[in-house]
Amino acid sequence: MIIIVFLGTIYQGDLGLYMTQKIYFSSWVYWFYFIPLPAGRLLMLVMSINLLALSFRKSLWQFKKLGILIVHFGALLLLLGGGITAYFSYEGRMTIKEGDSSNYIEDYYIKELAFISQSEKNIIFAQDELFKSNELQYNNENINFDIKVLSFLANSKPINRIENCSECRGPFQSYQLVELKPQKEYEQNNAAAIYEISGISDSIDGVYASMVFEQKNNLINIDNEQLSIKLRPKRTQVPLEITLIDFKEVLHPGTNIAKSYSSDVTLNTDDLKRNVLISMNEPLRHREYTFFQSAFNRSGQTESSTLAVVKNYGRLFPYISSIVMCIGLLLHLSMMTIYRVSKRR
Amino acid sequence: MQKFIFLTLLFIFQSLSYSSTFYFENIPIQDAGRVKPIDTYAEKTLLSIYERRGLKDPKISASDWLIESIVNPDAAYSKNIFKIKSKDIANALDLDWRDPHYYSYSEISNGINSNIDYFIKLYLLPDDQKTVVEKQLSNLFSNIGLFKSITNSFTCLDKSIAVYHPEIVKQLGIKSGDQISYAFYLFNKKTLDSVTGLSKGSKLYQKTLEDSLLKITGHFNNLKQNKLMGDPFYKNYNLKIIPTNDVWVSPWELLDNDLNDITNNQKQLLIILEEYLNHYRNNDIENMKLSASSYLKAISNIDDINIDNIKRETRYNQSDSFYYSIVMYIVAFLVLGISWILNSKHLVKLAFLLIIIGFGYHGYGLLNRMLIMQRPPVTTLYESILFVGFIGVLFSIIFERFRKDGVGILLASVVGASLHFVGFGYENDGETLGVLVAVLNSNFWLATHVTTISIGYGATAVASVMGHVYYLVRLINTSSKSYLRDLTKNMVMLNLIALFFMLFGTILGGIWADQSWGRFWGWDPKENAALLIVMWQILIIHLRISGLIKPLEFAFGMIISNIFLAFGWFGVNLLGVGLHSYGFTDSIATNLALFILFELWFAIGIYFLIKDTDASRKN
Repeated sequence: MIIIVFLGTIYQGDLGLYMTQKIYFSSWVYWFYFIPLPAGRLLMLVMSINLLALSFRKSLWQFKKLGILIVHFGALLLLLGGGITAYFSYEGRMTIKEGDSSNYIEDYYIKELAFISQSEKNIIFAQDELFKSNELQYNNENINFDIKVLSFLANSKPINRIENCSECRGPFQSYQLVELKPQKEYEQNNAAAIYEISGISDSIDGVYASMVFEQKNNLINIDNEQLSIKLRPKRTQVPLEITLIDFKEVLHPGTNIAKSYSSDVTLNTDDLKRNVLISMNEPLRHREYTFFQSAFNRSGQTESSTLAVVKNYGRLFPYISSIVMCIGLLLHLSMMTIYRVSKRR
Repeated sequence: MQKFIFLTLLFIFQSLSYSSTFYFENIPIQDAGRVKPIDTYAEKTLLSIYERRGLKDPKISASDWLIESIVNPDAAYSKNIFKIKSKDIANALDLDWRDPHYYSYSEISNGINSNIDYFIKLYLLPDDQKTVVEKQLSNLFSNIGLFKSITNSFTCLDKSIAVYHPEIVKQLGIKSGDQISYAFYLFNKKTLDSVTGLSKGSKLYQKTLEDSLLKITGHFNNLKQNKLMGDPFYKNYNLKIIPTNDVWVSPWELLDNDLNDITNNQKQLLIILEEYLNHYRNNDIENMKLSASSYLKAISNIDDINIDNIKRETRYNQSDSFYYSIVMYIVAFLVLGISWILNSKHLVKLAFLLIIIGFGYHGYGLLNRMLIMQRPPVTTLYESILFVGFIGVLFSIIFERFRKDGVGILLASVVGASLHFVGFGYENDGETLGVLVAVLNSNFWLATHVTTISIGYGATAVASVMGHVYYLVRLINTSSKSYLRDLTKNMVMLNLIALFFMLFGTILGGIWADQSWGRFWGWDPKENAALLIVMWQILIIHLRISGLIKPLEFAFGMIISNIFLAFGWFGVNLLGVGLHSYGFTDSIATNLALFILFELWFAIGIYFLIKDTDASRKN
């Protein structure tokens, strides 16, 4: 575990947090060149089993060792909480402009390809669909066509088109994509998908590309219906709506150093509405969701605020386990002291 | 123990009492996001151009240097106060490379002016595109501008032109031949504008009056334009000492803005300041005191200013308490060494007393910093070094109370002095009392997580030094087996204490992260590094309890924990990623590498040496 944590820390300088986490900590096996090493998840499982197995050792079930037992039980709880968080928690962000509302959260890493129609019946393909089966079907209100994903780039840069491309359609006619190494900050990656649409008409059928950071979307017109195609962070609906009333940034006087950020929002669930102030270190908690002040964007007159959203069932475990461990250690220490004093007498 | 309590109380009392005088160094200034005494600003500026907190020759304080430069700029321009760091820099400025490497403003600005386009381009280049030499040149350029702007910042208060015309003299209510300043001129501009209308003299008289007025206006227009010369960036908007409702302004800035916006209080401050500078020029100390106290009165009802804290900060700047504490620690170390040679119990007691005095100074400095900033002791890497040193010494003192044989004194002096040395390196980066970014601006979490983890660092450091001590004792092997068994017990105990604080510091950090970012653990480098220390400590404790390693190997493990500590404390900041990457400096990479190599050599090399000697002793 020490080796894995050490390597995983050192390599963050090169790979960034997301990649190292994926390689070292959230995986079962890590390949150090050709040597397989157990990675974070496997090691933590082994440690949990080990701690659990400890309880079967008879020699430990003595009153004298009660404190130690409690401490190890606390550690087990911590690992258990980690497991629950790893499998059942969900993280994302919600970006809202001042005056606007939002009822979905965007994923940090995973993208989706969305076909947005005017009738607001959208068809969305998740990222793993783009990877797994590259033959996709669009079926919506009498419009049917096929989409074949040609390639998906984790990070890319558009450059002016040099190679001729007669089958390209939309903005992709004027640029081509160069694949780049993923950046340290995963969110700065310009992910892109290149796909072929067929089954509509000769003028529309062809190769298209969509990027996360693009100026012009692909637009296709079929039977007076306009479809716009976007590659965007994966969205998840939440059973509530948040309206941003005002975002405030307070600076230390005479500097550009921020003293505090806060968002004045309205939380809207079904019929209930209330105003909440979300600020640094003071998130909004509502049922299993927590909203944290995370970032902001200011372009011209409009400000937008980004809230980090977390849904986590395991978040109480560290609190409980640290209390349990603390009690255990204190109990052990005080029992040892009493034991020593009585021995001296 | 009584002595200890007495001394602590003495220091606390001293830190809470104030001196009643109020001089130039206590003038409040708003800089880098907070209100502070001008003394701190002067020290910071001098540190960045001269690389010392006070002038060496003649020996004067930073505040004295500042006011001297303001009152007498021409003399200041020829003083050698700009440190040039390498021959390349001197060459780029057409200067001879001489020893000591201090140069005057005039020399350097000549060099810059002959190649001004280059310097402006360089200055505007982003820092990461500059080489080391280019960075230094650009810094020097900016410092030259800064210094020029400082020397010009009070020229609006200079009594720079004499007024003789009887009509003007009469209307202004001054004596003939009295000199007036730009500020005075502006404040009385309405009167001056109406002078010609009021005067009832002959035509010639009117003509001379108009000439005099023109002369005065021309003089001040010149002054206003000249202030920009040689100072392209600052516009003399430096020394922001005039309070406003929002961002404070400098004297020139106040006068350049709309005159109608100036409050009476601000006007009064400028007038008092003008008097003060005038008295300073005339070396009139009595009147300086009077002006100073009326300045104090004028600012006393402004909300932003806590006069007591301002004075406290000036006193803290000038007290050099950390300098005294390191001296005490080093002297204690020497006394302890002598006591072992002479086998004297009294000297051990003396060394212990010295440690406690040093500890008192150390705590006094920390307490002052906390009171000045109104926040818990650790908010930056520099402060963590100070605090970890303090905790290390505290643990060693408690340890010494139990053992009473000098080992605790040894631990205290080694941990205290070496961490002070590391800290001095950081002190030279500039001002050490900075404002905090939004996410850290939470006294509750700074007090819990950061303080706990720093205590953990301190305990780990002491435990690790204890491992070194155990090694050395084994190497000399003059002690009995029971003595060694005692030391082993102490080592395990220290390691347990360190583990306790490290573990809870780390978990508290996770809870903070859960509170403000929504995740308990994010594999951030600093989190990982703390986890490394915790896991290592758990590992060696478990190995020891299960009997898999002997005391010598346990000591080995404790020495290695120092490497983990250094990695977690400083090393991960070098990665430049993650939420905790603050306090980055180039030179610490080499120092860190040297430290780790030394510890590895010590842990492994001495280990085999001990094994060897043990084997030969057996034969």
